[in-house]
Amino acid sequence: MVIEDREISFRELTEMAGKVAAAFVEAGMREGDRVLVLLRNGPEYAAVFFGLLAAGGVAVPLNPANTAESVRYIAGHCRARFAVVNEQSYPHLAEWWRGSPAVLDGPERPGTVSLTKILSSGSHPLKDVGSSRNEEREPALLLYTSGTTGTPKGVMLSRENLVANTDSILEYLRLEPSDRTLAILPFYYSYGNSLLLTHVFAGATLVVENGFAYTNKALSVMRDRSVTGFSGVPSHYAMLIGRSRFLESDWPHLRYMTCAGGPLPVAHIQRIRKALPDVRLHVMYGQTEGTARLSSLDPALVESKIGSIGRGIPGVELRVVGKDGRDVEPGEVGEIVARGKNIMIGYLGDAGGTADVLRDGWLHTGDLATVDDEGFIFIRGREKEFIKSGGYRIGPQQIEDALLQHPSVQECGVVGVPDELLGEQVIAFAVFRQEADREIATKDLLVFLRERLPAYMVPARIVPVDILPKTETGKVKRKQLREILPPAEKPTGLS
Amino acid sequence: MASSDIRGTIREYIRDRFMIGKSSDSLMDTDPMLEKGILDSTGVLELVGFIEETFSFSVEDEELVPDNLGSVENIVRYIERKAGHGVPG
Repeated sequence: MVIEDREISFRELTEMAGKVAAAFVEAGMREGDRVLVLLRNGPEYAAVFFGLLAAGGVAVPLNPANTAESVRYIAGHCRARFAVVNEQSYPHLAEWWRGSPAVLDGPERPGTVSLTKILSSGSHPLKDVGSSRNEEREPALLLYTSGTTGTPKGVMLSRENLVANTDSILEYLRLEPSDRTLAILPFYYSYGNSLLLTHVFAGATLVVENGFAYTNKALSVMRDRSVTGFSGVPSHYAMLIGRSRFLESDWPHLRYMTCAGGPLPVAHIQRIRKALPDVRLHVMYGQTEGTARLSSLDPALVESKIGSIGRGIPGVELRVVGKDGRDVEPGEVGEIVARGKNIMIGYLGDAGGTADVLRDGWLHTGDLATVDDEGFIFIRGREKEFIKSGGYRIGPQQIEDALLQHPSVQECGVVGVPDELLGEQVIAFAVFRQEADREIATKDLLVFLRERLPAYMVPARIVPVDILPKTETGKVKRKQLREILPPAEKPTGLS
Repeated sequence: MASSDIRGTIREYIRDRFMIGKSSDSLMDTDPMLEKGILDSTGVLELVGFIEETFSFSVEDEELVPDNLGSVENIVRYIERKAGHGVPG
């Protein structure tokens, strides 16, 4: 692994993981204990992740930028016993954390254990005691994702899930030990987690870049480190194409690019193909519930099947079925369902939610699609109302709940509208109790939401409306909401 | 616009858009905002959009670097240079 000027070999990483595993066992960690991990990408994250796996713990990686409220909710939900945090997120825990002393990646503070001290302790061989657990049914990793109700759901992934999906991805991506990929995706996110696992399994190098926001700096790293692979969500591609000279530059070492986490605009696919015809562009599709990946389009077909997410990856059966459970005819819309060893155990503490999506051995993705006569799948929309924005998966309900806490909001609806940069942008529609509130409250409301929601959930704008379109049963018709957005207010993103 | 006004405008925007109910007193002008988790990649682009709209100039692709946009201090200096205030460079 490479990060800035540091180069960490596999031997060093294994030693680091051994020290982390030994420290947790010594601190009294039992197999199956949940451990919050709030770290940025880097060798420390990898050491903690693999150390916990080896010691039989369950890593619960979270975005270190999460709000204190959200971290607290998840800590309670998964009954976390331990936490590994960086300086940025430590204040989020300090006031209420009652578990074992937090492991702090930063200068030691009273009541914490220093990760630096753990990593500089004597050598402990990495013993994989975690493998004695039931590999199929016991969670090894808990990834929290927004559910349909807006409450984060804990996706329980077993070792078998992780290994199966990693093997499948390696089979189609054909990584070599000589590969060096730019790791800009956070490892706490399923796509980033798969990047970590596949490259470690392949003996390849992860060139960690935590500052992709400054695209040109990231491109210099890519050039200086002779990077062979790039993986990103559509908003990363929008930045590469819209705010850098990526396509105008030569990339003699670049061998492959992958995109998941939302549809890659056709225009971007065409521009990449034209500028970099020798680079294999993998358009993929997945869900956290499928560990990460469910489908991939063979790069050789990226133009002839443009817009398709391909077919199921090795080891994953992917079908598009109608309401009767039978495969749809070409052109007919149905739901994507998936089966394979990569499909999650279920949602933690949510038997009902699990039963809703895992039926008869199939994961019901909630994504609507068609197939062509050769079986290639084209996504047409989402049955579920998730908004995919900037790589985040956002349940509108949580935003609506927060909006409705404001005294001047009578009712509201939140939707995602296409945005070239973010994939989708969050837009809220609100009916105000009094006409006079419309103008005053709109700005106040944004401030109000910023205090209650992570920044990525705060709507880009709040549109005052007189009435919300609804179904006969009183449910807000989100599709119609998108249509009433005045053209002038429709976000355009980068051009 | 005076340097202190630019600073105030930038701090206010960052506080309102990215600091999620926290006091902006906890943000030092020299703090690296990406490392501190205040901005992420899309946040930087939102900030760029705000700067372009508020200060009426365009941020060129090659100017998207931490030296220009990494901290409040760097942003203020960058805006001063671009808007023709202070020492050019």
